[in-house]
Amino acid sequence: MKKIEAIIQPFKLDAVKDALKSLGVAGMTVTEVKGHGRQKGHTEIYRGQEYVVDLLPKMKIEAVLADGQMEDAIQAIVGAARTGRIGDGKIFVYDVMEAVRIRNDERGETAL
Amino acid sequence: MMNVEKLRSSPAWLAIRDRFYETLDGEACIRDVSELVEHEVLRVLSDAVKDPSSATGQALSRVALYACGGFGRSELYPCSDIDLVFVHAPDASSEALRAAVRPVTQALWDLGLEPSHSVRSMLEVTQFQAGNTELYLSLLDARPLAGAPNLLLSFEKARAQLLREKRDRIAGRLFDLIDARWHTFQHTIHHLEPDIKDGPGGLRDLHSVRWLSLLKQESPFWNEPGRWLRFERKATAHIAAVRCFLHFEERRNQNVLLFDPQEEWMELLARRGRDASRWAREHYRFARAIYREIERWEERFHSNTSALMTGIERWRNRLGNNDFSVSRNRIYVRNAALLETDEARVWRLFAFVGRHGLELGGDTVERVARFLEQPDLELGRHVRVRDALWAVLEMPHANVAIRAMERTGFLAALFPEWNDIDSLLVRDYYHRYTVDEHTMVCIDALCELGRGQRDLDPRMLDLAEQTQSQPLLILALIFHDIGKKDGVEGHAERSRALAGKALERIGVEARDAEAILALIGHHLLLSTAMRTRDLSDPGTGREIARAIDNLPLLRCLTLLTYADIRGVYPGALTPWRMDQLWSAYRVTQVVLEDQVARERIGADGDFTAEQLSFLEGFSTRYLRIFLPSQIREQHELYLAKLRGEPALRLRQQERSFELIAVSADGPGLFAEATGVLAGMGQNILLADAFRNSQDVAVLRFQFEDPSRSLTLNPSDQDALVRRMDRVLRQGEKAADVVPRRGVPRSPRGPRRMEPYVYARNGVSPTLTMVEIGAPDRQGLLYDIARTMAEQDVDIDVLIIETRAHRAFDTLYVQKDGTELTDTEQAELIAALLRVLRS
Repeated sequence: MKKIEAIIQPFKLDAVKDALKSLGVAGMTVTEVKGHGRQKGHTEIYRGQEYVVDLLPKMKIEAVLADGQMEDAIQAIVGAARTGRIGDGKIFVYDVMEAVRIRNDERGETAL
Repeated sequence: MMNVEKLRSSPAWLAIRDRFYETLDGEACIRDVSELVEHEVLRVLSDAVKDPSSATGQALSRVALYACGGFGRSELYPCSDIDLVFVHAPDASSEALRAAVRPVTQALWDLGLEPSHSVRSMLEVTQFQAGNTELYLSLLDARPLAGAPNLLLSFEKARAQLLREKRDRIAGRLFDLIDARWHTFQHTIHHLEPDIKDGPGGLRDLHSVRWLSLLKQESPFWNEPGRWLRFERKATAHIAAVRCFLHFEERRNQNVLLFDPQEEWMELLARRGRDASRWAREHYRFARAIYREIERWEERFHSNTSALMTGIERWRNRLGNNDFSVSRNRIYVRNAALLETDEARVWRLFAFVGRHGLELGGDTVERVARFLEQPDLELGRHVRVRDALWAVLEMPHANVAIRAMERTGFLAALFPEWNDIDSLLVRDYYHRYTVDEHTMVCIDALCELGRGQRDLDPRMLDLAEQTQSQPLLILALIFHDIGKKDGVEGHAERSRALAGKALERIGVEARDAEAILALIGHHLLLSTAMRTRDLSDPGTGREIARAIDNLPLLRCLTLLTYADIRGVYPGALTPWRMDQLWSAYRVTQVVLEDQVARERIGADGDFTAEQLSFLEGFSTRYLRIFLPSQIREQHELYLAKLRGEPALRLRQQERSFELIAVSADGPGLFAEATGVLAGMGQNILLADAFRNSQDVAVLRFQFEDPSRSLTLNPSDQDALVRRMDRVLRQGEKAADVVPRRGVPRSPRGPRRMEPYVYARNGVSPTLTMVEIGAPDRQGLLYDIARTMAEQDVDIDVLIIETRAHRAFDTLYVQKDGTELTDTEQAELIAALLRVLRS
């Protein structure tokens, strides 16, 4: 099993969710986050004052998948979240040792 | 002995459950459960004392057993705890008794019941201890189940004496407990997933009224005791039914009516031929009545007891005036009978609430209710409703006033549309409150900004400071979700339509109504953009700007969205969402500022060739401000100018004047024009200046006439036109054609503001944008324009707004046909600040 963590632009959330659902990925966790990669924020001038906006709003999507779904899921996220501009985000993939459904103690991929 | 499964699956239990599902009679159900459990408790007790020679038998023969809580009231819910109190004589040992009752409580556990028991000495009942008030409260419902007659009698005497002597202490503690409980529910009954037991207006509060009535030996609804009893029976039946359902469905003491069980309950009601749609509204109406009854008790309690607040009380009393007095933080009417017939006084009452943020006293609420009960009531017969409403909505605590209006029924009398969302439940996994309460929480959030509460987001505080449109925003919020009565989809448009009729009915001016309706119709625009659009893309700003085409309106929409999100649930406006909202505002703000500077009208549109030639070069804002008929009129003025005739028109409006002038542009033109108006004592509210590619300027001024000299003397109007013509057409100086009157008065606004001036380049290749905010005063615009002229700065576009004694001006200026250098900007800012601070 793999855990995918995708940091995307907030306005791409619905598109990414739909793309994952179309692959049969039903469960995911979405969190409002702030951060920057190479984009590094920018300076804003408002009413004569300068403001440094260094941490930009992003969405973090986390989903745990069967190994066989991983590549398709990555492609789906990339396809849905890409604008081609700096700030589109990143995807990180982790190995998952175990999954447990708390309700009935199911284990492994069946618990996903 | 039965085990757990046997009790829950016993024929008697199943019969109770089946009867409930058949009849939905919760009261019968809790009575039956109570009887069944009592039977089991007594059986277990009897088993335990079967051998009187045993230690347990001997100990239990010397106690009195009481049922407390719901069991004591014989209103036991299927999965409620079984509250039992074992009372023993003062000479017995509690420790020994605790050991003796253990077999009894274990047997009850084995039955599947959840006994919550305590062992108390008679001394604990007779000798009051402040830390033990919860015990005394539980004794209010205590019902004897078994015990030695002499012990039961002693207990009754002791309890009666205790309650008689310590009633105020116990009642005070009860109010503390209520307040703490309400606090966890944000002091509102209007939760979409209500806790029907502990939530405000729930079962616990219904019992609290009963306890207060017992403690104080007074009837609720003290004027009509029977009315409360009738209400209590209905409310108990209503709550008992749904709580029994929850207990049977969840098989535990679960009292929060979550969305899923709500749906199942509605389906069950429908299957039993009940009106499911009415149930939810009835639920909130019962809760509201219970909640208010508790408030009444609390008000009466504190009016009799609290000496602690005397100092504050004296200070509060000083807030009173000829109409109203303040006592214990509540407002009372000095001549109460007058309030029942005098609409102006009722409006003044709400303005008083809005000024001081205090709640109405119970008697005042009753008086307003009686005012509304007049058979021939017609709001606005003797009062100009729009003005009276504005006087309330401009107040710093307008939110408290709106809640008072809602509570008394005045809001629904003023806007019958409000009834559409009264206790309206729209299921949604984000919202926590019913639609009406959501609206109220939004207004609370808005007014907090208006009061400049320091812990709020500084960007929103800054916008609120610039905007000063609280009445418009509150009206937009009152109506923004009214259309939800027919579902969420498309509600913004329905709300807008309903609001349009209401605003017309109360005489809101067209310009204000237009802004309010735009805010209502677009109230989801920014929140949708926050979720679905790239907020760094100017295209997003352009799209929003197509709907919201001017900065003041954008500021208002941003504030409205801020309040709307905060009204969803506490904490809904996370810092993350706040940043998103700000980004949506900024991306649109930049577009709107640039549009004014860059976009110029091209040679197309529904105009003649001559008119199009006249339009060429104006900012597109010009087209948005003026209707085609007005543009044609200005073209006529332009033709008059070409013929060498006066090219200006003065019109009297409802409460102000409008002057439109067309003139060849030239240095200081705008300054001189404002100088004429200032010199004649006029107070400029709005001004716009535009220049086309032929250097023809169109000036528009809206101004009020504080001394009413123009209003009362048509000859003064002629004089103004003549003087303005001499300045515009013949190039005379304002100071030569009209002597300036006196020293301008200082503003008398609710708060003073520090003047500010900002300038920035980059809005267009040739223009610099200058933003100015300052306390308004007579002649302010003249001073600004004259300073600009003295610096050889030409005004290309000017937008001014005056609200609440503050002026906010945005100017697009140039010097020698190009934008100002950094040095020129600094000099201009310094010169303007000198004038603004003088």
